[in-house]
Amino acid sequence: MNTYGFFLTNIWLILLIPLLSFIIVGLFIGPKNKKLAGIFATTSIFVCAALAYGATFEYLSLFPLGAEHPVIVPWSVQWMPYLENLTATLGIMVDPLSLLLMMIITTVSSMVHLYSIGYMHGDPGYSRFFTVLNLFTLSMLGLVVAPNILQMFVFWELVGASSFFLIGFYYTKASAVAASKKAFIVTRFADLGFLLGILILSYEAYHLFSLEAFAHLSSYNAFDFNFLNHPEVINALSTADGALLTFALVLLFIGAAGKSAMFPLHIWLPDAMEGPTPVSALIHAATMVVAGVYLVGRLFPLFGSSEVALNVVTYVGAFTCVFAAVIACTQNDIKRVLAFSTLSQLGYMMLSLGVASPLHKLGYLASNFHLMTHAFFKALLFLGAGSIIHAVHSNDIWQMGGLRKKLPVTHITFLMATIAIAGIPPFSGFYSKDEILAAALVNNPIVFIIGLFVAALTAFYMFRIYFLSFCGEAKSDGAKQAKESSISMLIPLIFLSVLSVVSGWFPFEKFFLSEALVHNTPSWLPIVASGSGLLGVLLAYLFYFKKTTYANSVKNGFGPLHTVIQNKFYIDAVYLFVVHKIIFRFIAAPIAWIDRHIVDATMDKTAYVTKESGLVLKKIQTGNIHTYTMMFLLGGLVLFLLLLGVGF
Amino acid sequence: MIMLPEIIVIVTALTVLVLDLFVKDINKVQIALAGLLSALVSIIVLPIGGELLGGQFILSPTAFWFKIIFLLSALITISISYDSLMVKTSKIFLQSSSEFLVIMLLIICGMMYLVSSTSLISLYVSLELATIPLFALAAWHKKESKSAEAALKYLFSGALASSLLLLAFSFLYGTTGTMNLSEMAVAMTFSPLQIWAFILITMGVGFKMTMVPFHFWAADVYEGAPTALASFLSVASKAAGVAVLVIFYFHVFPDLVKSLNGFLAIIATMTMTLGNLVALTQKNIKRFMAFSSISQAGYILMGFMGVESMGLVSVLFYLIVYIFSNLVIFGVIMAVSSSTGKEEISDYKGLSISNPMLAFAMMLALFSLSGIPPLSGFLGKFFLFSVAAKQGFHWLVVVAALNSTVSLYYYLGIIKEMYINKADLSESILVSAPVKWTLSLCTVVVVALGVLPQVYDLILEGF
Amino acid sequence: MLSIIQEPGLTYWLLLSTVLFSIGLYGFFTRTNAIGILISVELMLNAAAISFVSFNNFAVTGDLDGQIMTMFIIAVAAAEVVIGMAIFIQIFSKQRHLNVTKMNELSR
Repeated sequence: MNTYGFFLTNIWLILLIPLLSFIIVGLFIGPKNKKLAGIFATTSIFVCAALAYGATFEYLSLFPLGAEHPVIVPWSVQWMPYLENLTATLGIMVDPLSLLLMMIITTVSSMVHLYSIGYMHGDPGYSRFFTVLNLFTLSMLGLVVAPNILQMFVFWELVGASSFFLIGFYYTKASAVAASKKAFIVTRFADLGFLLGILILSYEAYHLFSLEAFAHLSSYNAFDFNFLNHPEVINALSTADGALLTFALVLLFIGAAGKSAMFPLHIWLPDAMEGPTPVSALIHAATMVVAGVYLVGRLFPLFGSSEVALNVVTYVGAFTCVFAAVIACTQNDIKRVLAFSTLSQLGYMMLSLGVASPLHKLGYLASNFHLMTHAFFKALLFLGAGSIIHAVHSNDIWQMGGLRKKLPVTHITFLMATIAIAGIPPFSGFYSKDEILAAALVNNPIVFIIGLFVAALTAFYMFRIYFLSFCGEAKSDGAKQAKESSISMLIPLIFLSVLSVVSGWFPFEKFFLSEALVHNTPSWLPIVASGSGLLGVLLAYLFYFKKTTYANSVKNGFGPLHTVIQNKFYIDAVYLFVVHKIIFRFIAAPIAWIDRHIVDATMDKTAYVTKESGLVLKKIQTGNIHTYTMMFLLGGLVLFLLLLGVGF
Repeated sequence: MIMLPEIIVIVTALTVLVLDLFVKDINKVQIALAGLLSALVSIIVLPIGGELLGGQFILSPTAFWFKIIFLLSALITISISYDSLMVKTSKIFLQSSSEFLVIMLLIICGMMYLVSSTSLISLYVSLELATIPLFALAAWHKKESKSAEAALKYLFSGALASSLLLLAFSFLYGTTGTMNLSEMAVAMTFSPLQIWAFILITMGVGFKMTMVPFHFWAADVYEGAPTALASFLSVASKAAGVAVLVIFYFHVFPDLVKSLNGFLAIIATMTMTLGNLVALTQKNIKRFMAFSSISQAGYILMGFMGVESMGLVSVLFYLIVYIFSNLVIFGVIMAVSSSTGKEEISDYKGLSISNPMLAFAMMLALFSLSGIPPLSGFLGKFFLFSVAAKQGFHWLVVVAALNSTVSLYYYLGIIKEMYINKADLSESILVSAPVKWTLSLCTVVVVALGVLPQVYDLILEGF
Repeated sequence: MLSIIQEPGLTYWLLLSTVLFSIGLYGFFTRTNAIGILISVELMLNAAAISFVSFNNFAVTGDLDGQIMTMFIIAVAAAEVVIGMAIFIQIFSKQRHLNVTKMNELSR
């Protein structure tokens, strides 16, 4: 047995510290000392980051790069044993995937915390912000370290709850409240699929324990990922009832699609921009939305056994990718553009998982690589956008301009992130996007073409923002009077920009996989990939650098089509129609009537009966000692009769 | 020297008694706590399975855990009763409080001897030592007629119960020919006289652990007696009753009880339900706690079904959980009545504003008692329910779950008073330091036991 | 018939014990004076003691456990009575009566 070092044996600290911080900041420090609350919350996340890095370091010293990288579970506690192989445990699983995500989450979260100290300064809900931010970090960490699907689900829901609080942070604004409700309802609806998928999957898995052939696996649990991903289990499940397995996997994917905002469950993400910008950076760029990708990645061997499920993943991902990119080209609110950009990049990650298989692991690798690089540059983009919004007091990109001189640090960091997302070497985005395209090329040429097209679009709309905001003349008073942000907001920007550059050079493959991948990528691929990116940059330069006459004429040329795209294809309107006219009227209203008049009435009557019997029984307590004695003896008689009745 | 804990407790009691004569205003609570703590430590160190006095005094695993339970309950009760014992300006201050403390310590000593006894004689005498002084303690408030009336009712119920028990013991002795409990178990023939003895023992023990229909004294005594005694009764006395029941059901009559699961189920149902239903209607918080603890006895009874070691372990675990949760509530009650002298539930209005820490601790303890995860009460109940389920009594589990729901309602009623209703004037509730520390510690344990059930595994090992 | 009068067997002693116990029980139920109830309790305890002694004499002939138990019973009963009387005195000093049916102050 390997002996674990300090970080791995005490890995449970990574869950305990945010929990304690949440309680302490929320109950004790927050109400009294705002400044201390922010510092305390930030420090605890930095400590978690240190723990994550320490754990990774120890893991790598146990299992060096290039060697076998097994899954270990250094800590787990049995929560409730239902049955022999059906136990709810709380634990921490350590393997390259969870370590990667732990590092990403803690790094980005600590940067966002630091940034928020400056950004949220003066806000009346300052302490509340940090409290919920800590809770969110805790739930996200709990999700990614889950060794079984039940714990993952619990923390999944907790993530949804914390994101609800954070999106609706400015709760006095009706639009923020509506956005948080929308996010919660859509993801909750998707979670129904998730739960059904869990139930079906674990039910089927549990039945395997009764088979002879699986006796040697009896130490596992039907919920464990180690069990569900075991090759024998996958084999048994797919041969026994492949259709049911596919069905369960598709249901699970629906849950993932809700959280990761795949089409058609993407509607909540653009509206979620109502939350404060640090929230968008943390939740809607780097962490929560990747939970769905993480889920598919975690169950990757299972998904790999079903062609249909993989195809669903691929095509939904690809469609979302291009759909969102097209819309992003037409948006005028900087945060909306970034939101659709996130949708598009998530599409990349999903389709990359879809084109992979347990034999061709490149897609799996590429997806997680892109997850990491995207987390860094997208968080940077959002934080930078926050810096811009803070300075200009407007979200509209047409109101900005000329900020290059006025916000130097923001400018440089934003530029670096934009280059990264456009996929231009040697920045990180290039490497990860290149790998995705390589995986797609091998397995699914159509998807490759889509990916290439979207790469160009990505570069186009991102540089559109860049040119309009930073170059040219200031187009409004806000832009004229912009000032650079405070140092606490700039440090995270700088740090993340460094990461956006260097994270591409990380020896990812050796970290993740045990044997080297055979790369059959043609040598023209990197050139074509960066070429499409440069094409997009060129187009954006032509349209937006100096005068926007070309852009306007193109827009007018597209005419009504442009309007449709700008309104996000009117998907929201469709949803509202279906919900209001159909669901509310024909389904919800009758059910509400039944609930009020039948269910509630039953409950009320039951409560009434209980209360009345309480009052009746109270009367036997007369206070008279003789009554008590009589009852004593009657009790004895009753016992005797009971004894006879039970017929001993 | 396996009688060390008892000896330490006796010595502590005598020290307090004598010192109080000569030294004015000694910190008797400190002495008592020191003594109890050292007794607790000595128990943990002692080897289980030892014997003394030619086999009359044993330290079985059952005895070990029950002694820990008794000492814990005494420790916490005395700590939260600091105001009653030491603070002269408190509204619940007890006159001659050192005698009160001495008697309490001796009662604990009696309980400890009770679980270590192997023969009917020592069992009877220790049981009486653990019961009779409680009558005196109940009458401690000389100026209040309620106190004396409560003591009277307690005395009479207790006297009746012990005479029934005695009759039962005589039947057992006569039909088996021995006073030794283990020999008695072997010589058991289930003749009618012995069955009758079984019933009488159930009645007598039912009095002590407030089974229905022997529970009538509880409401009056909890309300009339000093709050320090009420808290002591609700944990230690109940545990003592459970201990006697364990001794008889598990060691003397096991085969009989194994076939009587239905019997136990019905009594448990009656106890739970009556306790819960009447608790709904109460306005005085001490009386309310009496009925709440009556219903808890019902849950504990479920652990006796099937007479298995798993059941015993879950009973012990639940008792420990129950001690901490219940005493937090009583601690808050005492803190509030110490400052304001009020004992109605409606007097807890707005406690969350005048003393948020107290209200929070109370809330956690109330949730724990009603069985809300992730607090310890939920785990305790879960284990008890699984004992019943294992015996195939699923209807009982359903009934118990329904009862837990009902109990949640009345516990929430108190929480509503504390958090939602506004107080007219917020009197400041001063909480003395020892009480503060004890309450904080116990609240932490209430939460911790629910999250880390290692204690359960520890108890399980012993069996 | 004469033999029964001269040497009653175990059954009759137990009968005596039961009768005494029942009388005590009846007294417990019906007497309104607290001291009367206490006397009835004494009756019950002593009935149990008689039961112990008679068992010891007739059924369990080896040792003296039953009689030893009786010693303890007497002592404990005395202790109980002491506490009882102390409580009664406390009540009497306030209420000037010991009628248990009138002691009903504790609310419902």
